[in-house]
Amino acid sequence: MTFEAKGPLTVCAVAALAALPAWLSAADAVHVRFTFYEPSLSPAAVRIGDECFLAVEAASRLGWSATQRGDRVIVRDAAIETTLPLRRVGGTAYASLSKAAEAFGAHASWKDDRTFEVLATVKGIKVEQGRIAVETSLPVQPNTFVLDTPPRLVMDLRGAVLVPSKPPKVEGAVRFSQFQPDTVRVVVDLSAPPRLAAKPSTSRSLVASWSSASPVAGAGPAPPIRVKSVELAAETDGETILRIPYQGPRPTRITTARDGNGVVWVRLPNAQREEADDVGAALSSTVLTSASLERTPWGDLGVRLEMRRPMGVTVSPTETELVVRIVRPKNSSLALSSATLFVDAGHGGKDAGTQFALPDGTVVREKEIVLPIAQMVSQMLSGERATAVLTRDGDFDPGLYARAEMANSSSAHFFLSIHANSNKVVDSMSGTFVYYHGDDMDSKVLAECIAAEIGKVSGLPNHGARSDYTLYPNKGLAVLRTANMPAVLIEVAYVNHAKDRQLLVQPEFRKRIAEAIVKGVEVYLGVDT
Amino acid sequence: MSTRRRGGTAWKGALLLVLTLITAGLVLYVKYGLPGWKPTPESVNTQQPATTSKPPLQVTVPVAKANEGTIEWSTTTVQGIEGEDPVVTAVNAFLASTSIVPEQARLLGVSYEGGVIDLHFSPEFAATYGTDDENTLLRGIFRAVQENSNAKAIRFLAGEKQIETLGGYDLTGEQPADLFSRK
Repeated sequence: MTFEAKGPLTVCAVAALAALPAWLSAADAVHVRFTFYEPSLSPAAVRIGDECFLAVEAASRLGWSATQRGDRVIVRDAAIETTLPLRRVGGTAYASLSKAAEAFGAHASWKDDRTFEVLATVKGIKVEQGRIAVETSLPVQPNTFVLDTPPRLVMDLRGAVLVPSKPPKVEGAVRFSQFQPDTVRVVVDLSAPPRLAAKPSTSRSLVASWSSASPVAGAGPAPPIRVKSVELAAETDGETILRIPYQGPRPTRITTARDGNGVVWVRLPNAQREEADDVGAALSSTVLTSASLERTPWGDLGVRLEMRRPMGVTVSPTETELVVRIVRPKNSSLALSSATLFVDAGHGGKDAGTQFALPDGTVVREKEIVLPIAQMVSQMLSGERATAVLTRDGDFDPGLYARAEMANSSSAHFFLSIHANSNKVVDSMSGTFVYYHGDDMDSKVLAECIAAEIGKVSGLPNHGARSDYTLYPNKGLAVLRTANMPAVLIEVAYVNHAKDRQLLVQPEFRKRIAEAIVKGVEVYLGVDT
Repeated sequence: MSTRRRGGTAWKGALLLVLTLITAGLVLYVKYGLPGWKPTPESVNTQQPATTSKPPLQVTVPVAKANEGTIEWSTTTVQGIEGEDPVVTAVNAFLASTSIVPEQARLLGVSYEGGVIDLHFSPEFAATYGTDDENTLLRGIFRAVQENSNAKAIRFLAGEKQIETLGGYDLTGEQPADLFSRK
């Protein structure tokens, strides 16, 4: 009886002890995301402290070879090899994946507690006549295609990341940025639509070629410009002028962009810093706190302008210097209480805007989503704070032109049109765009202020401010073109994206968006700075 | 003899008059057509127009492919339809490929006047769409016209009325066919 009672317990205890090492090992097993794919590793990679370890026998799954030599492991990737200490876990030989990735010039980090990500870094980009060559530290998955208005060749490098401490060596006129968390986008601006002659496939040496066009900056790699200093040339009430002397060919493509912190960047895609100078310093200016030459968040070099309040920025290159005009945007000196704002809920009546049919037969309509947001914006601004007028307060369509005409005839100071977007493929696009008309600087600043505030609260991708000329060259959107005051069209989110749609129908989300729109206007007016 | 000569002259004169009238009638018919006839969307010219530069057998259709939020454009070639204008074939093939418009939305026919092409759409097409979708639709339609005709301008109609907008872009009046390719 006694033996019979103890027998099962003993068996269970022995089995549990036997399984313990395997259980401990499995508990530490982690996923590895390697550039653009998730390899199936057997034995699995493990986490020890902050490091990720790769089983020696699984190294081939990453395209590497690993050889055990005593208490060391030699890991080879292409022409590079590194020797790492061997570590045994449950009888299996491991080497540090973190250290191997670092030795091979890759960027490795923990995405979460159980997912380790290794991304390639971009080592070099070279653009010559009709050809682009990109070198990455590990093989990446390229997607090369052509976009128009303006014509440009785009190469997306899936599985790559830009690391500020390892900037790529760049030759020629090219732009690049972190397009997605795991995708670097490289763009060559062209003077005419190109015809792709060769596209690269998965590799670490990527070459694409095209015909019928040459880079805007001219044939062959454009020589870089060298920026020497940033100087305050003049300042009057409402206008500040900076001079940035440079050496080299006259720059052809200078853009400005505002980041989420109210800093304006003058992007110089083909610039080099003069020696190792830290160009720029604090300026004695009423609108600027500093101006300095730094690497931009998009990877190129630029002048970082830190403002006391949102200002419009234009850049005119001469043969010897860049002249940066910083001007106070229209109506930004107003007190909020004396401002009149027209708030336009897009569509209405028979014009439903974009629609999305749910499986239960319910239809989500743009006109019904944007009206409550517009009403909330109006309510938040009304009363003693400002004068807010809705172009529609019910389900009717005032007409394409009547909306801006109402604002024009009332001498309104701002026009805010609220919309929701949709894209060709369901669930393919998410987030917020804020459009302004053409190259209207005042509207652009307002769009940037509102986009930045929405980006802080929406929880969705913030695509920032964008000219409506990117949609319709030289014409833009009717409602923005005809408004006489700073005017923006806010595409809050995508009706045909599940995450966006779930948020768009929530009153709480709409309220957050309405508050962000109001905050954006306040930032434009300097209320919140 | 003299009587016979007089009768022969009268007969020739009458014949000349009849021939003159027939010729004048033919000239007027060619120039103005039958009185009271007016083209409608159902009866518009769907034959190969004089301004079309490409043979009707091969039609170039724009293709919009979504790639992580960006639309990539290319073209494909399809067999033309006997008796149908290549612009009609191309636009309808493009619309069917986009899944943006309702299933019944179609280009019914086209008519040409000078360098202007009138696109006669079914009423289902004349709705409003999201900004990105509207832009994709218009880029595809403009490209279909440019690839398959020599039209310099485009008018958008549904039920004989001009379409005002498909969302935010003003479509009234004549639109330059090279809207999206101009600098």
